[in-house]
Amino acid sequence: VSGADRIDRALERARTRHMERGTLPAPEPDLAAIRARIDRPAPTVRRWPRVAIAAVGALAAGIAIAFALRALRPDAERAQPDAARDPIAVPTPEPRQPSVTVPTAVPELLTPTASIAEPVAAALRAVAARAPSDADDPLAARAQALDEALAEQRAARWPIARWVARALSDATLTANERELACDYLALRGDRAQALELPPGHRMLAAALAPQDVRALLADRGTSAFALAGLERAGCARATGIVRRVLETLPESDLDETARGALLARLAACGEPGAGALLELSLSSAVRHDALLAALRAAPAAPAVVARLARAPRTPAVEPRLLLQCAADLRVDAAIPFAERAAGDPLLTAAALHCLATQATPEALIALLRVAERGVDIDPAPSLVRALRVDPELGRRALEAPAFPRASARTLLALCDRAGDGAAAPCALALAGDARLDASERERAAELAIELGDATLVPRLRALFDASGQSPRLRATCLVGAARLSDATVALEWLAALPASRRERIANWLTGARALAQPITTVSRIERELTAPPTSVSL
Amino acid sequence: MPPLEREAPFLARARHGDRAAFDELVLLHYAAVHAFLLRQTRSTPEAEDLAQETFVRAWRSLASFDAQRPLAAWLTRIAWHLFLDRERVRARRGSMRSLDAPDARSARAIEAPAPSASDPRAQQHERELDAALDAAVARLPEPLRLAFVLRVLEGRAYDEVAAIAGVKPATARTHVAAARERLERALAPYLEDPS
Repeated sequence: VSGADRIDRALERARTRHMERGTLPAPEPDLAAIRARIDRPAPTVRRWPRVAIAAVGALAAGIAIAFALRALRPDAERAQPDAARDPIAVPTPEPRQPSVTVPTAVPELLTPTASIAEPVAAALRAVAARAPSDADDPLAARAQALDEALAEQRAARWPIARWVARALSDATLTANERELACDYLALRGDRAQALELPPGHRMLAAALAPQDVRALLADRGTSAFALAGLERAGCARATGIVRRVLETLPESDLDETARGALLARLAACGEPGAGALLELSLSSAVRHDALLAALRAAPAAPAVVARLARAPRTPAVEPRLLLQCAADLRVDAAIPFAERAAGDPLLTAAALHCLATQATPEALIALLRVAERGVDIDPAPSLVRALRVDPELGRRALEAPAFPRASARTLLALCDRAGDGAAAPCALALAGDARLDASERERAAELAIELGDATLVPRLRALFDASGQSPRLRATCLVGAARLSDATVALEWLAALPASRRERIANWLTGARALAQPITTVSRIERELTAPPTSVSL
Repeated sequence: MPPLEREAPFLARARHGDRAAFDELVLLHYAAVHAFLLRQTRSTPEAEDLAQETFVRAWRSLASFDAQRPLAAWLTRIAWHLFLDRERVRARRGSMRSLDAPDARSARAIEAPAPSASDPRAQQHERELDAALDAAVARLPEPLRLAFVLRVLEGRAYDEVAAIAGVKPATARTHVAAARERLERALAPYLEDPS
């Protein structure tokens, strides 16, 4: 059990003791006693006269100055008295007492000898020479390997950590071997032992304990040791340390570079690191934009976001950050979470943004359901954002068999409200959708023509060909083609029509006034398209 | 009705010298103030005495109270200062205590929960650590101690801690972190493995 854990447990016990004290029911307030006390005159405070305070202060200052002058007196004045002048002042040396006989086993354990130091140094060399471990906690793996290499000595109850500390003074050890020794001390030794090491070694060992890492990071000169220690530590250990440091170190004590390095370390620590980044959102110690930037760089972030979004219980994460992260990383598993979150007025904007950036049919259907339920924020801009990401989104969503008719009508209403060119392909897809009735489809086609441009003409042609049973829709397509491109393009679609009718339709399509009144023009062309064929007299 | 709205009319009348309105405020806040003081003093008579004194001081300073701030936080702050004054007086006079109040050691022995460790040596270590923690908390500088007691021991939100201590929430957070760091330093000798 580490020291930090012991403190945490002691604090937990203290908290329990403290709160248990206040569980007794409070007695009724004695209002009469309080009134009586209020009515009692306040006790007069005896104050010292200012002159007395000043005198005491002056006396204290005088004494302090006298002591200071005495301390600054030259050494010569305070020299030991001359033995010849004052022989009594020279103390006579006491005869040495015979040394106490100690058991032979004790010095063997505590005094370094070559026979004991050598196996420790040899074990350090052997373990340090091995290839780096793939273990989740490589430091623990190295300490374990050193323990195994010194199994005999451990069985003989040698104080291994103390011997490893002493081995650090061996000049023949390489840097790698010294680092191993420092890591071992940090893991297996005690804190007092690590703090007794020389400065460089102390900092190496200290770079593996949260409270020491915090102290190292607070000083620019030593922050490199802390960051190097976190690099050496495995993900589980580094995650725990960094999280504790970020939660407890005041923002002003950590420069941006060190903070960025800590967040990058968490980002590289797989799912535990990404989870810690998300959970840090509840602490005000780190800004959300910094967390978000680190999460974007974390390879495991999408999996963690998906897991948290699917969790049956509310995750211990700031929901806005989770939604933003799901949006940035395009985590489609977060769509149900975003749909639920949209119901919370504080989260509606973030949830709509998340659904819009997913740009998938599932996200669009969820967005439409949110719009149907009604929210404080207009979902139309979110629809436009989604359609800008994927212009074919509306068509792909309508192709889904599970797309309900109510959602199709909502989609048409949102396209209408958005009034943006990005909604034109979606509106045209709605015009060809059988879920809508004829008038809705015609409205969708008119909207597509109103919002779209010339790139829409091939799709209008496809709709024209597919709308054989709906002459009004066909007429709308013709007017649209003429408006968005040229009347000749529309007339090419009428090759099978008698020349006289084509000529009349051409007159309506080319007239500027006719195109300015598209509804009237559509009605005229519709009548022309539905008129029975006339007999030609020879 | 939220507490602020409930107490606002009484507070306005009490500020104009209405004793009956002040009685209503006492009834509203007495239990919380008493419980807070009981947790600090561990003595029911002492908590009652200090709680009454808290309201006496509040009545005398009511004119200077900012009505936009929560009254409960202000009362807790007065109670805390009274408790500290009482502690200082006791420290000056030596360890004399009321016969009604158990001394710290016996109180700890009575209220200490069963140690979590099964090994007698580890149990003894836990007791020593707990006693050292209590002593170290009592030695903390005043603002750090208040922030630590309110946040860590009583589990109050930082906003509430800041309101009681009269500082910003960020400062309260810094005070708690500094207190924890000092405690870790003070307890370092007790953190070795007892086994």
